[in-house]
Amino acid sequence: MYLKKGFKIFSLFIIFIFIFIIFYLALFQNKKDFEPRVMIGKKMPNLISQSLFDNSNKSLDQIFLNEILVVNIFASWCAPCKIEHPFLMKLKQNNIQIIGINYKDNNKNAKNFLEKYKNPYQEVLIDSKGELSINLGVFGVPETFVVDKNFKIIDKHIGPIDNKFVNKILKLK
Amino acid sequence: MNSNIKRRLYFFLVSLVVVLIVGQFVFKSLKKNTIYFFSPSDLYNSTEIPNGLIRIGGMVKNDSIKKSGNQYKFIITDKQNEISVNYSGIKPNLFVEGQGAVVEGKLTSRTSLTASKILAKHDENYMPKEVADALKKSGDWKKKYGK
Amino acid sequence: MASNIANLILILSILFSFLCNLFFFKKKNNLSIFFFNASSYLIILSFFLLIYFFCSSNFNISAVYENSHSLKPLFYKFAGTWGNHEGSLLLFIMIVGIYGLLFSRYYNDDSKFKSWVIFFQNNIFLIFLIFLITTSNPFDLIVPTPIEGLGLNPILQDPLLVIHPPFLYLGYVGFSLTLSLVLSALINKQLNDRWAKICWPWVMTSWVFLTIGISLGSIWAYYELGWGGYWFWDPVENASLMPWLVSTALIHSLLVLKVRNQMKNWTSLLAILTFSFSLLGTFLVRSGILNSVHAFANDPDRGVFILLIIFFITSVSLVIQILCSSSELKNKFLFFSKESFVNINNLFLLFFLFVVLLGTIYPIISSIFNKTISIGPVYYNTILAPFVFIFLVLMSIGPLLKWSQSIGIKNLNPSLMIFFISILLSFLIIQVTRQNDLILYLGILTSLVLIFTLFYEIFKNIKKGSFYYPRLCSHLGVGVLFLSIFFNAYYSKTKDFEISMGETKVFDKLSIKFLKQDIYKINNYLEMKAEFKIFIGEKVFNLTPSVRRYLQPDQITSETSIQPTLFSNYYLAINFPDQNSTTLGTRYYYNFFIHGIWLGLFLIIFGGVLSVFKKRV
Repeated sequence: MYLKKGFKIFSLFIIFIFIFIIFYLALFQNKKDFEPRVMIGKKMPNLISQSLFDNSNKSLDQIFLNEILVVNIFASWCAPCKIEHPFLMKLKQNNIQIIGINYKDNNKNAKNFLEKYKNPYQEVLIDSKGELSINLGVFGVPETFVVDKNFKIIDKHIGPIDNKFVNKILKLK
Repeated sequence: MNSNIKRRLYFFLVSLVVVLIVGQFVFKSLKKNTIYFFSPSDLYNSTEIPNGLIRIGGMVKNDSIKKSGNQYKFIITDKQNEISVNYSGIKPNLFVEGQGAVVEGKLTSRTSLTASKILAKHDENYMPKEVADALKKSGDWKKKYGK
Repeated sequence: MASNIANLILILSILFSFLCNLFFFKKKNNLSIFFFNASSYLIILSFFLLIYFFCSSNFNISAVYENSHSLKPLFYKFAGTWGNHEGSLLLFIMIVGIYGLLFSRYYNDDSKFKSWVIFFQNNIFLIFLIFLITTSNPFDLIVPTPIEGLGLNPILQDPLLVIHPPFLYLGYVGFSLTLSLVLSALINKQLNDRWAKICWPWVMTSWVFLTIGISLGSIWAYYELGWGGYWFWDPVENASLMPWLVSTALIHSLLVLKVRNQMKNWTSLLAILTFSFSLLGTFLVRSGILNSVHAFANDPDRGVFILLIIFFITSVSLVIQILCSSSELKNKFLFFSKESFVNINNLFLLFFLFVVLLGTIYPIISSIFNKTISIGPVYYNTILAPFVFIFLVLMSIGPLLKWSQSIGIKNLNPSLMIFFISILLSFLIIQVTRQNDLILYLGILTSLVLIFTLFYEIFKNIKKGSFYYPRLCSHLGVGVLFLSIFFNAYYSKTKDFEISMGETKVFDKLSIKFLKQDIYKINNYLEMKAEFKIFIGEKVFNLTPSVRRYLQPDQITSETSIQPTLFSNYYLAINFPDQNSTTLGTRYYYNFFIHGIWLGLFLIIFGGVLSVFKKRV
């Protein structure tokens, strides 16, 4: 009787290990993903708002474009924004134009943030109610768009940007 | 004792036969209703043309959607190969040039498909991959800015 | 500050849980149970705290920051608490605790048995609590305080979708207690009829909640998704159906154990499997392994952790079952007895389980070999149909049989009579409606056999007054459900078309006119409302379906417009029009007998509820 029970337990474990391996492999499969990301290829809507620096009204299309423009949604209260900040500075050092959209923030806090961490932006538009960002279909803060000289969105990144993304942009120049 | 063993054996054999027949039935139906998914390049590279219902996914090629009456013609591409699709029915939500789509139907040739369904990729519960990835990465942000 | 308090509560809860184990090993039962109760109360407190954080939009708390937004209506902020992985995991743990608390409060007979049950329940509680704290803590602190959250996602902004998860959880998480009960019984050699009687209300309660949860999901799919259907054999739906099938088999097995003190091994095995399949369902939905659109944000690492937990719990349970199961004398059931038919019932239910499991798992296995596939619903319908027919007939005969006696064939004369009547009636229905389909015929036939047999039972026993309401109610529900499913499948009509403003489409006796449309923008979506006039024969009515297009994520949600009649629905849904489109894509469904399906489900649930409360010897 004990033999029978032992046998049952043994076969149970063999079966379980087998099933576990199957599920484990399946979990880490890279699924086919052909789908282009949302908003890519669409035209960036023209954003009009007050500048953070001089309170005058600015619109996006007034800004002179080189080849590409980076639009970055940020806020002083946003922790991941601090994490991505050095990467934004790196882009600036490589002469990439960056426009900041200051999302639901306090003007003074935003200015202090840029003074403390340095300013990577050529211009910053105020988006105190979040309306501009909603029109852009922004998911959260930070979010970064890359736009070509025809204002077509060619890339997008949700969350703090990293070195990989920076290199991707630099290659586009 | 003998008749007991006989009975058991009989019972066992009958069950075995039943299990085999039913099992056959189940697995055959499973195979028959398996809908394989291909990208246009998969089809291009495959050695034989799949029969039956299949699914193809890719991007709807720009300027390829043409409508005549109740019929739609368009092209699904994965930037390397293309499949032309015929579909009659109403255009589903979010089916737009330059965006992803999955169609289900039967191949009429290696490069053309008659679609019976265009799948609504984005329905109420869909979370786009990039949003999902961002949420996953948020675990990393949390570690960085601490508690 | 708030985050710290919450985390403190969680840590205390774990501590108390460990203390429960400690005192259990020291045989101090009262202390052990006390600490489990305390631990559970703490988790309940933490859950309410989380609700408070969500409702007050406290973005310091990570779960709130990631899943909520100040623009969300209060009700959806509240529901957002469990609309995410971390929050729902906390809900999961809380329910494990609640079932333990309730058992602890209401059971006081055998203190040794009770302490074992609480011990097992506590460890299930503890495992998931550790998982939560180490990988999925909703109370992680975010500094500095974000002004806004990330969760302006319309996915969960629907009332039905809000209550669907809690009910499901009250269902399949409730089977954790079933597992604890069975493991205690096995270890203490108390797996017998008295134990079955104790278990009964706990198992039935979980089963009722699970049935309600699944029904709610189906109702939501019908009224909200806009495709006229109520069940799609989607892997996530299947994930909840599988524990339901096993638990239904368990209930019947438990019945035999309760009345005849037999089928012990079946019962213990089914009790273990029920919770395992509940956990499996959890895993499938959360880990990203499925290609379904339902899944939470994919995370394979989390998935592996959950997988390990499932294997651990299941293997320990099965090992206990193997080691402790009494070598029961081979149950010799006479063929035409109730016990035997319950056995057959279990085999059928397990077969159904196997079919559903295979269909759900096969794509997963296939993905390992880099072949992406999906299983069409035809597979399920084709395989299950013939077996369902036989099952319905057996279901009508089974309750007529007696315990441990074989009844003579002549006692089944009424069944034969009913069979004849059903054959004729079904034939009549088929002829009158001119639907010469064998499957429809058999479906109506077998459902009627079941329904008429139940009426016969009620009639025969109405004088004796000794009949069992709960079973009659639930089984009647099954009959009504299947009859309605077949009616709905064969007698419904659907029309897809594109229509321009002012146009009228005519199909036989049906005319649909597109009257007007309105488009407006609210927050982050565009909504379009359309008005239609429907003419059917002499009936005229208006329907106003609407559709919303959200910006981020790019999504469409649709509000169907429904005109109900006694049994059926006229149902209209629209697609969101393109900018330069002059026509509107419209879907019209005439869903015949859809209310029968809801009635059937209601009867099944109601029978279960009666069973929980009925005092029966």
